[in-house]
Amino acid sequence: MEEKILEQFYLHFDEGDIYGDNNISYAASKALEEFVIMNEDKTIQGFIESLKNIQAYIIENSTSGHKLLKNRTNLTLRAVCNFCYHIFTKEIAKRMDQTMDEIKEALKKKAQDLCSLAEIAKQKIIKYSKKIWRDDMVILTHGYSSIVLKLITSAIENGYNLTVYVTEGRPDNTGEVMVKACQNIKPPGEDSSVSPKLGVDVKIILDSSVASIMSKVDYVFLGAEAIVENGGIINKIGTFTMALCAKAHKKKVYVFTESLKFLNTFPLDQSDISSVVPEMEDFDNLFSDYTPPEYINTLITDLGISTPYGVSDELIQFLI
Amino acid sequence: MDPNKPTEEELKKIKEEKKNELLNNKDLSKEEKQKLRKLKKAEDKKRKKELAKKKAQEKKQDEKQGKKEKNKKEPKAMGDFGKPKKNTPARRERIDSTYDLPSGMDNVTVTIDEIMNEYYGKLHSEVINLGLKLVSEKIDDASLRCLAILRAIIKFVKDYQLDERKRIEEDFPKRIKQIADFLKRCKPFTAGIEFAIEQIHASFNNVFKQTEEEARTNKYSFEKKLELIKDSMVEEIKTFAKMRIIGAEVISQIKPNDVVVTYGSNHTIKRVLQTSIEKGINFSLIIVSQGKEDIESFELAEVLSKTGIDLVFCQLNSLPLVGRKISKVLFGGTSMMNNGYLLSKAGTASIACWAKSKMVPVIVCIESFKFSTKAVVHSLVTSEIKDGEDGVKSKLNNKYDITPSKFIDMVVWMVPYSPLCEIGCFPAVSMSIISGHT
Repeated sequence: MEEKILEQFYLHFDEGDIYGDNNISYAASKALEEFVIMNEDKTIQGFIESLKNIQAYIIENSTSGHKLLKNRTNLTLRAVCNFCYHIFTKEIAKRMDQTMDEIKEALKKKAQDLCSLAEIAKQKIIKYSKKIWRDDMVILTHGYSSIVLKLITSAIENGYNLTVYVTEGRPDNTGEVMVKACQNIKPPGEDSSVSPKLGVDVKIILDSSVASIMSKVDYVFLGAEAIVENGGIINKIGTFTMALCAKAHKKKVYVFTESLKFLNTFPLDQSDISSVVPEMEDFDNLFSDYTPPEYINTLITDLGISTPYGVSDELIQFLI
Repeated sequence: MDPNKPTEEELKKIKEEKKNELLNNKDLSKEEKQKLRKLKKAEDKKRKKELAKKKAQEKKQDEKQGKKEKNKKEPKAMGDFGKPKKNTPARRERIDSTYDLPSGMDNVTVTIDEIMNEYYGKLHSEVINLGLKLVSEKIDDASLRCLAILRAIIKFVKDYQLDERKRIEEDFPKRIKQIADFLKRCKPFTAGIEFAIEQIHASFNNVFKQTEEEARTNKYSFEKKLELIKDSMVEEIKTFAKMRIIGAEVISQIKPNDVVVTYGSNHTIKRVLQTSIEKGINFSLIIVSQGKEDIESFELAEVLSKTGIDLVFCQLNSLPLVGRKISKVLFGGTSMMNNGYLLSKAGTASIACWAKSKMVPVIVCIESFKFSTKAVVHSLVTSEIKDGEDGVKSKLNNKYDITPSKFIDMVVWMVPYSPLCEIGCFPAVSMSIISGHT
């Protein structure tokens, strides 16, 4: 049964968008829907137990066997699974007096809702961030981030001129993917070729030139792999460097994430990351780093625009 | 001259305050009050005369100076609107920097003699015993004090007797309140103890309702009912102590090769350190002493050094020299405020501030019964004042201080079987959310 569910997960995992993360939540919730259909437990406790088991199984196999997530960590997947688990248990707690079949029917609907949750969250974030845009804005972003790409697309389609600096994003060079995606965005109006000023001006820079470019930049836009309990974020290696530089130059750092990426951990410093991400045993060669909340000006999630501590309050309340 | 010794002016002030207190005391007879009032009036008159003299002298001096200045013909400055006011107040010779601070001296505590005169025979002997211990400050730690109080209350409950004509539901809470008021006078309560007393009242209400129903259906006698209530109350208090204080789960944030700093001795921190040593985690420890009177932290160091751990014992002023490679700071606390501020022993805030400047994470380990519903920003309001070396109480001789939430990275919450057991650690800022769910 477990293998079938894992197959379901792979089936819905769009490998074309390997660096993005909306497909992770989509695939996970599809797999969970399959799990609810196939499950034969007759007690609630048994159901919750096997839900835990299947989530652990998916998480374990996502990185080790097929290397689906490649160089990325499975943090996002873990956060999504955690989110689904909480939604499921809350739904079960609401329907304690009903029969098992009725509960399963309700959970199936919940899982179907979860499929589109990431997409809805992204639309909300784009809606909230409309006020940020100004004409001729200079943005710095780190590597590839699907949500930042969507934001830039929506801004350009609304007729703003932007300059975007993208870092290379070593070691997997996700910056190149980002640049290509940005160049494909078409500004409104057909005669954009006549006036080359319109649209987006994308430049790729070295990871190590973040500090030297920072004085030219207006805003730093970041995505995140996971939000941790105190409102800090875990993201691709180099994010902390960028946030530190921005703080020194007094530039604003905006982080865009869906709230379903909330992870139940509390790293105190960088060395704690290796315990958060067990596959990164070698501390000297990490793929991800932890950015403390004091280096983030604003977190823009589907819950609204607020400070990191505000978001952590909101999310802890959800988990209670 | 000793700067700590009070000047003559201060002594006068203290005398006056005492007189005022005497005046307000209702126990005095009318004649005595009148005498005191007369004395005060006479003193007031004297003072007014002296003031008037001083003013007259100053005026003369001012006039002399004014004459000299008139002869000089100074050029008019820009924005000079007329002459300055004539009656400028005389400059104070010495400014008391604490004169506008709220004084913690309002919570007047009892002395040992008062306890013996007023309360002996009225309260349970165990409670009186505890009161004497609290007044002489033999029990200082917040958790241990709460445990001692619960223990005394258990003994009181076990010996509790009542006439059949009286009602239990009225008498028992009254007695508990009496005990609490007495102990509060001996030493002000922390948030944790207040919470524990509240819990006792709440559990009595439940227990009473249940036994009342049982007694009605089974037609128990009054004595059996009382016996049942006593038994279940003792059980309730014991489970509270077990769940919340003694048995609170220890979540250790200490990792191998850490250099940990603690301040003073604290029951909670002691448990955390001991369990992580038992687990076999290899770390080194710096215990910062509160001063030469702080015997408890020395004892803690003595106990821990026997386990073979790498340990340094130092004073607060030498911490920046000793602790160059520290990686974590662990604090216990007296109570955790609703806005994420920590009430703890005096000196905690300065260590936290120093650690934050070194980018070292500050962790507070605290049991959930110490969570307070109050929000405090000023350490002088709630603080107790301790005796100085010369026996004079000063507003600045605080026992506790308040650490702002910006200096605290993580609060470790220690409760077994909590609904929130997944979130054992949380930022101090979201304290207001957590405290609603304890």
